[in-house]
Amino acid sequence: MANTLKFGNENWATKKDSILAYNDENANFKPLPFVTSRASTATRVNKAGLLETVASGVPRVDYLDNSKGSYLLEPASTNLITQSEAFGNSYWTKSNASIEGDASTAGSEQVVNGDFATDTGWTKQTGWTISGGGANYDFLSNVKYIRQTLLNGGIVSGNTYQINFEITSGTAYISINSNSGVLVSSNTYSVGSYSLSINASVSGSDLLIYGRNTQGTAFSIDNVSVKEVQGFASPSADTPLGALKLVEDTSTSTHKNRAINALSSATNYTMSVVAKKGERNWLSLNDVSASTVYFDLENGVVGSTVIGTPTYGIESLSDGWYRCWMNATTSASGHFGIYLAESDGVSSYTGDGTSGVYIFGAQLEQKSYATSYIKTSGSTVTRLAESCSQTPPDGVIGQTEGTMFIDVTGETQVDAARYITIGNIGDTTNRLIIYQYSNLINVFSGAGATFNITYNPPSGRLKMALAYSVGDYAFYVNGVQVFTNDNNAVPACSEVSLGMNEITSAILAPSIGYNDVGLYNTRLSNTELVTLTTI
Amino acid sequence: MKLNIAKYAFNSREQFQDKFDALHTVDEEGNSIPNFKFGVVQLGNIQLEAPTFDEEGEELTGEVLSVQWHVDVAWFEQEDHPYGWKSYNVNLSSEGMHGFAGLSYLQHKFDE
Repeated sequence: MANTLKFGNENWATKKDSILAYNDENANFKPLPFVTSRASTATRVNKAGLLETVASGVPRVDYLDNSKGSYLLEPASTNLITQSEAFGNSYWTKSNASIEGDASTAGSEQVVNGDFATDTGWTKQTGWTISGGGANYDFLSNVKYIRQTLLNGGIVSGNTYQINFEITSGTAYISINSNSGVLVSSNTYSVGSYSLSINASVSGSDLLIYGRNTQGTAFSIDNVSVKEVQGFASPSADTPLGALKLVEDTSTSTHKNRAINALSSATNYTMSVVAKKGERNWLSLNDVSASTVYFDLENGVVGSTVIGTPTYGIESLSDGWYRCWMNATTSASGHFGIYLAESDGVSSYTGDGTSGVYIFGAQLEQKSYATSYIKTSGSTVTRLAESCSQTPPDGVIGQTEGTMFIDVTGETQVDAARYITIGNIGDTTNRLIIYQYSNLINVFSGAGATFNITYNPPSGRLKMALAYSVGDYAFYVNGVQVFTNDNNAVPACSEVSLGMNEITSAILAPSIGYNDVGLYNTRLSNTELVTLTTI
Repeated sequence: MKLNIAKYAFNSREQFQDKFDALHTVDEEGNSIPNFKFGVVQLGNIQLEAPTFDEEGEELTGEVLSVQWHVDVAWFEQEDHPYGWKSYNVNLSSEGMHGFAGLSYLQHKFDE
């Protein structure tokens, strides 16, 4: 069963616009490069299990749930979440929860005279005085601030900060702002020390503490401190400290972070988030139509509680991180939400003010499944589709007989997507195709007595081989003969391609990983086809 | 590989669909096959004004949507917009509300 072209099966060599075939016989790469095309950047899961951005044109060998790697071909997809990692941004609405960074990484102090030792460094509006080592609010007027310009450039949107202060008397009802917007919404604080971690959704040079008199009492505040902190270790090679923590407050309610206006009505979406257990082991994904799936981040499995009729899954990355996803069709416009959960099916509970889960990389796609992660920071972003092809030397593609073989894992839901094709650009006759349509595998021959045979494949990994010679075609999947055909012609082809239309060279990418691809210039025997395709 | 990015505002979704269909050929198996390489992203009736929410996430004012059907396209190996598309091209001076990963619209738009 000597192949004339072998591709993959743990042996990968990639560079921009090219990926090499491999020769088992001398254990080296063959000078038979596939020309690849993907105009945009994209991400993959690298060998270490980390999400990693790959430059435009560079083929992706992906190791998600696959230690040997697979060549990933995907159709275009758009992440409709405009802030996929900045969960503290105002794009995300926090309810009974906050987004925090790693307090242990606090940088230098940005507040001057935060201990109010002197009446300097702060601009005071009516109602505020500085004396006795504190700043005092008289509760006589509403929404009045003390303010100062911070050191080190102030607050930068997207960065995470630790804000500390102490209430030394009374009950404060305050909000904390930059001069461009809210950093910490209005809340009441009794006597005590407070440490708030916030992911800034606005930039601003100044810090403003607003006193309010609609709740609480007159109060004194002291030891105000602002320091930038880093995020937590993430499953990303690009932003290794890019993870944030979704932390519950002490209320008895749901504790959540939602993209409030992300979903349109009557639309099928797949929503996903990368998450790791913290003090809480569970989270749920929820959409406006109440479709809900619970995910067990301790054991990497989906919980038993599923509301509505979504499809869902959980995939393992590195170091306890999982990508959790849910697909559902909406019945109204509204939110996509990430909810903390106390246990399977319990998302409304009394929080302790400190527990939560780590989150990274949210994605929302108008697709029935999740594709590779697409980072966004302020706008929706599309990853473009990709394909690959080559015109090998004579003798590689069998002209009078031959066999095409692929070993793939992934989705099969892209109509007209080409798994593998041999053909000639512009030639509508000489072509032999394995492609996808209406969730069925199709096999088409354009030569002689044209045939198109459909097959309903099993789910999961597929090892498919199409053998051909004059009057003797056979197609095997996972060790089973699917069909034979006595077509008395064989197409004469010069090009082999994956994910590409054989006539126009338009990209028709499936959404799969190629574990292995092979061409033979002989029609393998049926026994050999069974051996080749048995999993 | 020559690549251009263009942004379009069509009068309606139907008008866009007609022009999109004209870029395809239906083969003998009934599959709609692109005539050449491109990547199309339908943004639809894009948001002109964002909704506003209170601190609890309840909507205060609704969003305002464009009446036009907006589409971003990455064209490969094309010297100009396809026939019938140029009239609907929107020439922005910013990257706009949608992008292709790692690619700048301003650096890849067609020369005017």
